[in-house]
Amino acid sequence: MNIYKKIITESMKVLIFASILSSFGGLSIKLVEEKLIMFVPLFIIIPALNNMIGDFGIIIVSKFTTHLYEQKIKRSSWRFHFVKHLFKDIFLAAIIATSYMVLMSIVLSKFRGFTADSDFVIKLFLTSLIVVIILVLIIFFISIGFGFYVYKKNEDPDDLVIPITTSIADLGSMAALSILVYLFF
Amino acid sequence: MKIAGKTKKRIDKDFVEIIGAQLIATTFGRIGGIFLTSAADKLYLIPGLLVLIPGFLEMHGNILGSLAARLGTALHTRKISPELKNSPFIKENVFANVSLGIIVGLFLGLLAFLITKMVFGVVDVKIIFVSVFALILSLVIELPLTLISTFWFFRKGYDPDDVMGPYVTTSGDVISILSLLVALWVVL
Repeated sequence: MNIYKKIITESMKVLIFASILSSFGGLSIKLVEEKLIMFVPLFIIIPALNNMIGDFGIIIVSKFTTHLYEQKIKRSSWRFHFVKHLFKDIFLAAIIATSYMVLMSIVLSKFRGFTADSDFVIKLFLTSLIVVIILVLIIFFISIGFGFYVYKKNEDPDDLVIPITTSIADLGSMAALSILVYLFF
Repeated sequence: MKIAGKTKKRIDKDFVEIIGAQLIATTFGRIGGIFLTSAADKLYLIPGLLVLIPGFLEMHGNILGSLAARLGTALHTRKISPELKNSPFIKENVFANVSLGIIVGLFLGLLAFLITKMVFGVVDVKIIFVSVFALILSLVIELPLTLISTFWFFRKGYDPDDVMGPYVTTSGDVISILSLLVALWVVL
């Protein structure tokens, strides 16, 4: 199969599926819309969190796929040195980036006239951290597990798994944030 | 021992690249948000545009993120040379991404049209034109940018797998929103 046909065949179905998921993604946020408008930092942090988790999905899949094609990984195992270190790198980067994002949203919201007390900052930090940890874990396991399965089926994980992880990041972050905002604020 | 040291060095480099790209993307990603906020009033001019936006923004990460990942893998496995040349691999990747962009743009527009019709009872076919036109326009800018950047990062010693994801989604958000505004200006 030529490259063009392979990309179109592998990507089309999953992109259409991702489009449908994303188009409905805003619905969960709609349920906590009032709280989001009241707390400006939440409004600032949602798109950033959404993007960040999707970015980690792309990084995990592309690095894992490169390792598969380089024949450095021959079977699905979580004990591989590379998988363990990738997990450590992503997890640590996610925690640092989330802390930076919370700080940035607090500072930016101050310019819009919102003053956050310490109770709010702690709640925002915990909410964001819980969402990021849960979703990074889910995305990591899907990327490695499904990535290996797709590769074994002679398909390219870059084409199939990236849209899936970004959609999960999109829907998951909005749904998880909505639930946590409802419970915490 | 030597191998372990080498791997550790590579992992450390990976971590620095991942966190660096992510922090830059987070900072500059807010520019897209500012564009969107400043254009908020225009987003109500065509019914269904708010339904279209999440999927529209998501598609750039999906299409171009996959392209950057494929290029990264091809560069690492030496399937292509680090110089950006008019090879069949690049050509077919570009054509495939343009085709995917047009088809997905059309699908997203149709989906936004149908959701708006069913939920709000409003019929306006302009949303389909806006979706396709904006997706083509953004791809015209983003495709060469993604190609050039992936090769540039690789030649400079950065791993495209670490940096291209955040780069593509952040630049994609900003360019997509600008493209949507241009498409609105043309269609209205």
